[in-house]
Amino acid sequence: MGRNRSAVTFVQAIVLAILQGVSELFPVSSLGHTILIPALLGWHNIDRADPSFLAFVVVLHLGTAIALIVFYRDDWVKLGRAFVASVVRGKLSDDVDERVAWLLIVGTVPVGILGLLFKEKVSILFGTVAPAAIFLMINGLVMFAGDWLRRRQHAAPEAAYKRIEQLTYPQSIGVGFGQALALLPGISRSGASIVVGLLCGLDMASAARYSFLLATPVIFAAAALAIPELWAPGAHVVAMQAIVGAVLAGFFAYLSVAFLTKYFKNHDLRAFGWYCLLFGALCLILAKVGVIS
Amino acid sequence: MKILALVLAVVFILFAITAATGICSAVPALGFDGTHHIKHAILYAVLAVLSGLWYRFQANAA
Repeated sequence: MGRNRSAVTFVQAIVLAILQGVSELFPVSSLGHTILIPALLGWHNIDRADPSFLAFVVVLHLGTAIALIVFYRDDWVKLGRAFVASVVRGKLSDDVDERVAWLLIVGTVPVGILGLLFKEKVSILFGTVAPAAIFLMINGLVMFAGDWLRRRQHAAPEAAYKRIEQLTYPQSIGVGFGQALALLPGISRSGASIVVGLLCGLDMASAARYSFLLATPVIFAAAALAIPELWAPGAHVVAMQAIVGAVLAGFFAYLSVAFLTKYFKNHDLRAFGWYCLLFGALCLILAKVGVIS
Repeated sequence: MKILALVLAVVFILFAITAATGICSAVPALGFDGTHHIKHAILYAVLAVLSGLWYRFQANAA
């Protein structure tokens, strides 16, 4: 019964995979879009709480995480070596990679704790169209705030910008808390952490890079911890759709991060802010008049 | 800070054991509600290891 109702069709699998790969890294909230787009398209066969759909989402996240690891493979090798060296030595040094590795670990703690303890409660409370649309609009306002900060920083001399390794551990925890806001469907993980990174004094490109690096272990760990969902009672992931979904999600995630790392060298967050505001408002109006639910 | 790191490591080890065994299902605020206890146990074990490393760094820096 559940299998017939919630099995993702091939077309849905392709659309959801592309949506996941792109919106996970663009500052527009993947979680919000996986609620709003199926509602807009009238995909009533998709039950977000169904084991089959959850298992499919796990596969998409694995594809996204692998793409991020591949894109930043050189960084991860250097960071991994520096981390192991510090553990073996039992002492922190002044090495830049070691510093960044520990900043990433410390920054991952908030979202790890908050995610595991509150993710399900939050998704039950806010996992419908109207709250997702409202949070998407709030996300748009956050983007404008981030852009205002960026422009204010442009007035300052170049020396005012920090490099990633110059962040303090409390600041990295702050960026991690920003990332944890993405538990709310509609709030973007990368958007919130980029804005907090800007608040901490990073320039746009560094804030984006730190955000993507920080997102990688979280997305990967969340997907890895959810792998048992693939064998959960009632989970029936169609192999072909899962494979195509993972590959497409990974491919579009790779393209997205490649595009965004270049984009943020010369552009700001305002385009994403306008998109979130307008799309959120449209979905909210449609939900209020009963067109989507 | 060294003492804090040690205390945190011990507390997280206890949390990990509690979450893994489900012996304290009456404290849902800490995630001990009987569901996904293995995930919580992994999280607390990781935090215990990180706290232990923090203690080691502090001890070697002194």
